Amino acid sequence: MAREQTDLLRGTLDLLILKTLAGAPMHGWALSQSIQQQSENLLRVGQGSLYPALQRLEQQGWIESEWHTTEQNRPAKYYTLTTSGRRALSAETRNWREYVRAVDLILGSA
Amino acid sequence: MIDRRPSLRDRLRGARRRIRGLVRRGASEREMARELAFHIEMETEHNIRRGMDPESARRTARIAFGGIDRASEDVRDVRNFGWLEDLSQDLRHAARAFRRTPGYTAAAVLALTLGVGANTAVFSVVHGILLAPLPYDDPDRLVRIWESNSAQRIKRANVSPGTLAELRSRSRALDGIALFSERDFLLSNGSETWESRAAAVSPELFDVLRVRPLVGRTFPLESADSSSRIPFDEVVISHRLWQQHFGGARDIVGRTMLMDARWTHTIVGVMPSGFSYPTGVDLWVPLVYSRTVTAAERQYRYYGALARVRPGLTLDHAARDAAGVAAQLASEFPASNAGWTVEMARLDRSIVGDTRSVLIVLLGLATCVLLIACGNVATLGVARANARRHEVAVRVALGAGTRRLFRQWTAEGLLLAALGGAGGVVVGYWSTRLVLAIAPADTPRLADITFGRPVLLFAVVVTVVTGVLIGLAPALWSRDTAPSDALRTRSPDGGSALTRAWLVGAQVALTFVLTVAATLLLRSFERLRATDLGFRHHDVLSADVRVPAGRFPGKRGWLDRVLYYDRLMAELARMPGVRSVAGTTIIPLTGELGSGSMWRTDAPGAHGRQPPTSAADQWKAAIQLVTPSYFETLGMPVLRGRAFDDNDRFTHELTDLELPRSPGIAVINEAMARRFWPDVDPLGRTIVVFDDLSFASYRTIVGVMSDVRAEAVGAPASPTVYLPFAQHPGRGLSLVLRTDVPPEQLAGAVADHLRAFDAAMNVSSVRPLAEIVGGALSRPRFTLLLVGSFAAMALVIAGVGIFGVVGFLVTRRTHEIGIRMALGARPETVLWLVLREGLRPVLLGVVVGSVGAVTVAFGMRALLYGLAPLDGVSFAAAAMVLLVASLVAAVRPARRAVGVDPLRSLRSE
Repeated sequence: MAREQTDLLRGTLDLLILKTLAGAPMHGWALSQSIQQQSENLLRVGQGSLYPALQRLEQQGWIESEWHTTEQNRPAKYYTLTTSGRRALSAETRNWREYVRAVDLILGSA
Repeated sequence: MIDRRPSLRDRLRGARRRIRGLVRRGASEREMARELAFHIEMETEHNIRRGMDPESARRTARIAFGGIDRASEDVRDVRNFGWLEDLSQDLRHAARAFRRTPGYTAAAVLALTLGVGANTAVFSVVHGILLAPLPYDDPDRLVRIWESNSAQRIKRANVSPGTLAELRSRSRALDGIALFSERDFLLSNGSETWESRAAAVSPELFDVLRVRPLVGRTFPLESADSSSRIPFDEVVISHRLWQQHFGGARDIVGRTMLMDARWTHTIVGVMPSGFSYPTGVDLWVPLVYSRTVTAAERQYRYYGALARVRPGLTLDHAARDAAGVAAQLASEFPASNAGWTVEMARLDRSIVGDTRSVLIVLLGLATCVLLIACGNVATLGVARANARRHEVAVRVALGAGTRRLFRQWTAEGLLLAALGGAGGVVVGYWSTRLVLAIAPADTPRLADITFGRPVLLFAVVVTVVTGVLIGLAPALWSRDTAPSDALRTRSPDGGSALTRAWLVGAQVALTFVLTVAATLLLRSFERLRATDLGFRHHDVLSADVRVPAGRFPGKRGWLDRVLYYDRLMAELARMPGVRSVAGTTIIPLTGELGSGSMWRTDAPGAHGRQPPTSAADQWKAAIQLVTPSYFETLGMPVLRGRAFDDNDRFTHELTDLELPRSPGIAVINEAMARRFWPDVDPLGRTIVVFDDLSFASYRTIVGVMSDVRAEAVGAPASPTVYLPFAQHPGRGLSLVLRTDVPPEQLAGAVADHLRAFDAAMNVSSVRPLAEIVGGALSRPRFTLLLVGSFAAMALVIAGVGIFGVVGFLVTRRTHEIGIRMALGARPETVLWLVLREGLRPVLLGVVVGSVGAVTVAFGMRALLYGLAPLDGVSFAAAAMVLLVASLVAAVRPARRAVGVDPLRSLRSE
């Protein structure tokens, strides 16, 4: 049971990262802030899981990273969505919608 | 729900990145640290902007981040081929852990060394004998050919020149047939004289095997076509003979050797190193035989035959083809070929023969030793995992992932296995050399056994598999360790105890299999040794002598030869310490008896030399020529009738070898009487004996002797006819001397005496008969030795396991035992309590092991003598040995329980 929850969260986090990066390249901290704000503070990304997730997505070739300077002229690692990342995002978004709809159907009829 | 399988391209890219990460490990570590530091900086600034003071802002940021180390660790887990990345770190950690527990490490490494060593040694033998292809070109198409006759109970006998000539001309499936026959020669190179085994071969032999000489040439093929051109004064020698007796001389071709002190042969070639076909042969001479097939040459089956199957045809095809030719011959030449079939088998199988089953049993048993060693090390590993539960829990709390812990256990397993594997290779190397040194001389393909690359590869594979196996047990067991376990002082270890009990039970089960195998072989060997051979072999000296060639020419040669040997034996009998002297064509247990066919004179169709019409009336029996005192010297009792005496001589008209004028006599053994005269008394009956030398003679049976095991200790006597040596004398004679003193003391004096009698006489193999009998048991002794040492290893390893388990049990229950003692339990009760629990897996193991033991016992049925595979005594004895060994291993730690001080054990809580 505990295991399934982790998988669910992890899958969701990957989707959120992909979606957020679809807007603009970002560094890790900005990503976590962005997710937090967009979700109206409902979702807080545990930073301990953010970086492993970024690493994983990068290995799958869905995102790429590059060191750039921030507006304050500090070096930071920026992540960009790749073409296959874009494809994965749309596929996963579709999956997610179906999943939510399925769960909704059950919850709604209960 | 979410299908997130990356494409192949993505995966390739990921792998590339991972490898880059591995190569630039330092760089990516720094990069990761910078990225995480940047995150915390940003978070801190964010907090400051929200109004915190810098100190608490930083602290909050760090708390929110949740442990840099943990995050780093997780990122690393994702980033790399984890186990490779951290292997060196894990290995260092493992080495530290081993240094802390030298006793455990030594026990584990020792067990693995024995296990890997035994397997490596057996594998080197199995590889050399069974797996390595024969060192000939395209060896899969080489076959041996035999003739068999089921009606006469003859299986895979030699082939007659007639059958071979017909196969050569009629079979379309064979690409060349070669003949050979072996015998020993006395050789001399001018400065020294020695005995070597030689093969007379048809020139095609080298062609069929496709081997070329290293130096010079072999025999020209044209010589196969006309007997006049057979170069019978040529010889090809082996590489070994060249090195040993000619010092590897470059000008070897053209040198001569004196063979049997009679023929001078010119060396025309040297074969490459390692070539020795037929096995054990050191020189090859041309086989002299007539190419024109006469009736006699269809009748006498005395050649070994070898052929190459034509390319594109299967062995089955060739075998059917040859069987077809045999069927044609049987109908065309019923007198010589009725009932005879032609059989074929792959050359490698025929060379290895029944050694195959022995090796398979040995390999299986060696695997058992390795499994026991694995089980043992895993048991110790689980104990360690339990002892280190606290450490593991702390590491989990500090952020070590499951994978990380798994890696750690695997690293420890691999390190242990590597140490044991290294030791095992050393042990295996020396064991292989030992095996080669003590292996029976008739073991096939001994020269092909090497400790080479395939064996080392095998050792590496075994080591790695072992390492993973022994790492798996503690890894699986400590998988569920929770961080909170770190807080508990006493760990719940019931699971560990159960795992260990299972592992010990498995070890005991396998050990039982080995012990049963060893006990069966031991009892079977004892039976073999206690077998009544039917002759006296203590206080008997034997020697082989041969009349110098050309000494007795002409028509009187036969008579003179008999007189010569008479004088020789009379002189020897006068030597002090010699009680009696006798001669025979062959000393028991030194080789196959000569044989011939024979029939009753009153059999239907028999007339003079004309054999009876029915093949069933033509018997095959062993023929042995002996002097009158032979039976008495070897202590063989006469059952009925009489033995030979000095009057049984010269019954032949000496110049006419066709038929004796007055009937000769024969003595037969019990087996012969039972087989051919089951219902009537054989005494006084007359048979025609037709032996390999083309003599047919009438023999009246005058006596029946008791059976003698002359061919093998384990084989009952075959039907045998004894003829007086004087009525049929050959050039060579083997002597047996019954002595009053230990025979080895007389060996030197007898040899001297023989040379003094005739300096030109060839004397060889002067040795006690007991030594020959001992040599005949060398094969079962060898098997027993190997399996026995496997069983001993298994007992030691399993004993260590039981010792550990009981010790662990006592430690775990110290508290409980203290309470029991405080409540007045007697020491015996406590001892019994501990032993009972400690030995329960042993009993379980014996029960489970007996299933395996029964299987193995049936598998090695061919190795047993006078014993059913399900020999109750062997099983019971093996169980006893195992139980006693277990008890011995368990008693020491169990006695510690009795010594528990109730007060102290309670206080320690």
